[in-house]
Amino acid sequence: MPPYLGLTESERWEIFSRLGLEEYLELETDIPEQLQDSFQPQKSQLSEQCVTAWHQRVAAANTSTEELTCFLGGGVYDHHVPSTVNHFLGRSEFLTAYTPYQAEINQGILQALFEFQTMVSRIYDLPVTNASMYDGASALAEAILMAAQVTRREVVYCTPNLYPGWWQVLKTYTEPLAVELKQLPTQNGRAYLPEEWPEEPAAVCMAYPNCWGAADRVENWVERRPDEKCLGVAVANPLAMNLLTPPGELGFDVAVGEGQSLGLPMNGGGPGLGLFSATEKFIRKVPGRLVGQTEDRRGNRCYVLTLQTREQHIRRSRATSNICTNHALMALGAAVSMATLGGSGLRRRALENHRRGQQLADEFEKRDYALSAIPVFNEIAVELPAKPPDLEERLAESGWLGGYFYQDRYICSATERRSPEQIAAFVEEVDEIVRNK
Amino acid sequence: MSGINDSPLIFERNTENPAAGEAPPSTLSEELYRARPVDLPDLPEPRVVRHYHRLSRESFGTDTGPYLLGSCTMKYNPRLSEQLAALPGYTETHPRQPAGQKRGWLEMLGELHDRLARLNGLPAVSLLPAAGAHGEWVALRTIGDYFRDQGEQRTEVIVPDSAHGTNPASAAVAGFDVVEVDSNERGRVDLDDLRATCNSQTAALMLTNPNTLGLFEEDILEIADIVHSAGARLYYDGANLNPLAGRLPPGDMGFDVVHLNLHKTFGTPHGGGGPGAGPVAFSEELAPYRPLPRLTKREGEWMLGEEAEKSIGRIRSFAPNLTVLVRALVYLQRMGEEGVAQAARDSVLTANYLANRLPAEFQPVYPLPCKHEFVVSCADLPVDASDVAKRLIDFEIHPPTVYFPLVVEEALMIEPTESLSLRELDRVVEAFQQILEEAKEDPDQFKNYPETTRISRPDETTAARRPVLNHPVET
Repeated sequence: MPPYLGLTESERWEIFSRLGLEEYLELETDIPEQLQDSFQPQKSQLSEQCVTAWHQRVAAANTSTEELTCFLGGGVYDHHVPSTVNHFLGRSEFLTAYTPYQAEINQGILQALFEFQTMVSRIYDLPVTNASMYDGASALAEAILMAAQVTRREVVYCTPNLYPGWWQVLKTYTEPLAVELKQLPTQNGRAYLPEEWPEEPAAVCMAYPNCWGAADRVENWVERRPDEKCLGVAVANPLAMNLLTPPGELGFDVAVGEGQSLGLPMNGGGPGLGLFSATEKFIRKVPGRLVGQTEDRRGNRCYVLTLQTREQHIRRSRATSNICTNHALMALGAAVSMATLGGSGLRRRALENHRRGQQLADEFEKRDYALSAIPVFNEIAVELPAKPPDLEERLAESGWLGGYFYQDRYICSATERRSPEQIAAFVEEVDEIVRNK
Repeated sequence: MSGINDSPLIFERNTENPAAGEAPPSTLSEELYRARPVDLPDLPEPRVVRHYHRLSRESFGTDTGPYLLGSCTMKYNPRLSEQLAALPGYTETHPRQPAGQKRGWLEMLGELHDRLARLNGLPAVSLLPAAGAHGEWVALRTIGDYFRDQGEQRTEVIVPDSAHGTNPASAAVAGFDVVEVDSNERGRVDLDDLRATCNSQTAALMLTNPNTLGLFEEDILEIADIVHSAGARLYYDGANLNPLAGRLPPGDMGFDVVHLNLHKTFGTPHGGGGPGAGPVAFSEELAPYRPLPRLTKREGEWMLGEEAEKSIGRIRSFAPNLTVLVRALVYLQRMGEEGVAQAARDSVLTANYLANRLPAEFQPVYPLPCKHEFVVSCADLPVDASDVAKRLIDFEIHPPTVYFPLVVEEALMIEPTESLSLRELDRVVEAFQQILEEAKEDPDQFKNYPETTRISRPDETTAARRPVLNHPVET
């Protein structure tokens, strides 16, 4: 018998007899005859041992960051994941629960998500945070759609300094809705706000750190914003925000980002964690689930899913977004990580990442390589004179997972997991390969 | 807030707040430097672990008890899936690694692709979408681009009045106008109304089969014919695939494009709201439009293609929800197609058993047989649907979906899944019997239910009217 069924064979027959059924087909009289035998399922059950062996072999065919020392970033970073995180991601009460529609039996999940919202709100300095989106790019796309909806405007100016692939995601989302994406001007790897705006934008999106490891000129937002109606959207790495001035303080209306840097596994890129925060003004416009605090009939403090009239199951085609299932468990994991590290621990980690990024930059500069932009966190963009075709392979042979090329720049990152010695040795090796020493 | 019954927030378990900031690093400009650390508590690890452990005990998963939540398919989630998805060769990998370092991922994806393609009766699958609604949107985007390339102006998407809320919402986000089609007196799509609604503006009909009333759309071949004759495409919402998986591929019913919920049909956990995965299967004609990056097989080897002329483009930061896909593949490998088909049959069997055994007052609104779920109405009871749901909690049973579908008054949508034992099914029946007696005797008492939980009947009106979405920083 297949392994994951609740009924035993004798129970199955018992049900048949209690229902007065002779054969299962009596329950399928509603399926048209032409379709009755259209599919012949194969008998192909594998044993637990067999499946385990298959996945062990296949997983081993990937090269993991346990085998190579990782300097690769571009939106996902090799951070240490606190041991508490995987423990609680595996707690079956969290893992196997549905969206907490029934508040009384899901106070645990609801409170954890309420705490997550609070933590992210404090990090971004924006009061309205939802209970997660799919990932950073889709969160940014949703922010743009929200801005277009709220302002009824059609043009969005966005920094071109997004991680590779993100711009294409925005295009896929905006194309059918007649929202036009335009690029902000950029200089030395930093997008800046022009003095004149040819049209009234729905939103202006800037990133810090951006894909070059630098900060777009976010500090000018308040004085240079096109007008009060246009939304300022900041794309911000939440770990970096433990060290950098947060979007709320800089006057942005919305902040989005990829939450993996808060201490979640890389998972090959998915699932990650989309973050979405906004000012009070947009509380009834934001996409996704929101957990709110209230009281029960006895006056106890408690938590519920709230403002659901924004959502698809109530408002249908007029919902603020179509998102339903989100990445709640990743949000919970990020909350556990933040609670474990604490405010001081996160600050220390952010500082360490900044210092590692600076050292990485120094090591390249010491060897006469120019940087494409001034790094503010754990990632840098280097102007390599040549792009050796076998760079990746040769680095791998020496145990390094190097950076990646984007618009001919070499982008690499160093997190708190990299020691100063590793950073020096890595850059030395890149230098040797590039200069063909 | 205090009191013996209160659950302290993590911010209230604090002894120390982070110390004020150090001097800004010389490598950072002053205007970008955050002077004060974020106000998050510094807690000893034992306190953190006790906190989340306590929260976990106040959560209800499929391991906790019967989970009757209709349209959510709350089946058992194999432990083997968890164990194997946690292999470092999977979790400790980076999405920007060169292809040569991702051979395992490609093999895993290829294996899952082929299995899902077969079960759908369609040739190409995109494993990218992160959730069901993401998949719906991807599917409609491809249909939109397909018609644009054909030079056809098709701006409308039809959804039944009983459809999941994500259907109209996804259609709107994909740029379509939404038109509703009525249900007939038998709870199925009204064919006359469908004929009247389908025209040269129609891009697609979005349909789940069985529908949200748990009823198989018996006229499915005719529906497909009506839709195709109007030049439109037929879209399958896979939220309700469980009773047909391994039994009747949507492609065979005439569907052109299908989204699946791996977290429903294929046993991956819901995680309190995600991450799930919503792969989409495409017909030959729509396949060129599927998103990037896409899997292709060349000389027996799977590769990921980043370019394709007709593709709708990228839909997310990186790869699919890979570790969710691993879990689904483990489920499929352990069950095999025959096992998946048996699960489908059992899900129909348990639903029909419950539908037959519940007291007459809870009889399904439409005649049996149903498929994996059925809908009852509490309209004639002295208590409302929500009261019944709340009382079920006292029996340690997760309530059904309430007030959905919208076409049924005081609806309870009940889906037991194939994971329950006969004893558990009988316990559910007994609970409903007792609740019925209580409702007849003392309906007023129901506003006090549930009575066994720490909190009961949260004030949702105030929650929405004066929203409190975060905990203020204590000064």
